[in-house]
Amino acid sequence: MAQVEFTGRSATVSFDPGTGPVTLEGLLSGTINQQGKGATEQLDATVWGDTAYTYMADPLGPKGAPKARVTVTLQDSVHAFADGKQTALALNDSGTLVVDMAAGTANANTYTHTDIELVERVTTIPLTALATCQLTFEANELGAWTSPA
Amino acid sequence: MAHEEYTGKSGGSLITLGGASIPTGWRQIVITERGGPAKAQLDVTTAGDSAYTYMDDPLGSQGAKSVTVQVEGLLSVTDHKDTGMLSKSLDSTGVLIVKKATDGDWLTLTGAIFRSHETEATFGGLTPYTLTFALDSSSGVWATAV
Repeated sequence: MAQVEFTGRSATVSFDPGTGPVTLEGLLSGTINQQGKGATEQLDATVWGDTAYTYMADPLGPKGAPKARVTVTLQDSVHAFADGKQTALALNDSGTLVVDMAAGTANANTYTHTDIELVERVTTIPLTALATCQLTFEANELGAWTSPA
Repeated sequence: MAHEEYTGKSGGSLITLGGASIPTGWRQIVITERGGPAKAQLDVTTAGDSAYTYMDDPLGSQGAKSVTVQVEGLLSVTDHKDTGMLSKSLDSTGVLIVKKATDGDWLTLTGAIFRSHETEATFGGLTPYTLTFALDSSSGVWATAV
């Protein structure tokens, strides 16, 4: 298939805190940052008599948990509480976040994270420019990228 | 409801602390609400495990919710008369309300602390100020008249 370039114009983002999905309106940008556990630590296995330092990979594998952080920037609305409900979402409520590249489009990717928390909300209100609302979600495990096709 | 774009100007933002309007000449308001971080992962690896094992902290997220409201603007000669903010004592508390429009969203911080007031007067230029208000154990309450 030829590559169809992706812009956020076709994307939708919704969050379901357990009371039904809420579409976040006025989407300006979304950043999905997934980080794995990292490299396996190298343990110093040097012993007396060695002529050089010797290391071995940690036999228990990498430490820590993978992490995901999703940052969504919205063009704020006067009635955000009623429109996109981003100001109605409670901090630290866990829910399901869905980032859909293009709803209803075959082979379009969808990122679904079923247990992620809203940890920060920053509302910036300039006097003469559009106000923005930035939501940050975090989790200690990874969400899943899937495609409908 | 259709999405109604919002600017501080068209929205007619009104910000008050304990009955004092804050302040004519404002240029930008930044509201930062923070929850606790994601739950810490506790290391429960035991002898015999073949890989590190972790579990979510059963006590939940560490830390309290908090919020800061930062107001940036330009000072007036008669600020005390205009806004009353310069008559407010630092560390004084009050009910801080940031209102987007008459029937739009508003944020209420009960017990908001007037934490800092920074200004720099230059001889030939406008004088900017930055006011910071905070709640250290709550993120405030959003509501709407709609």
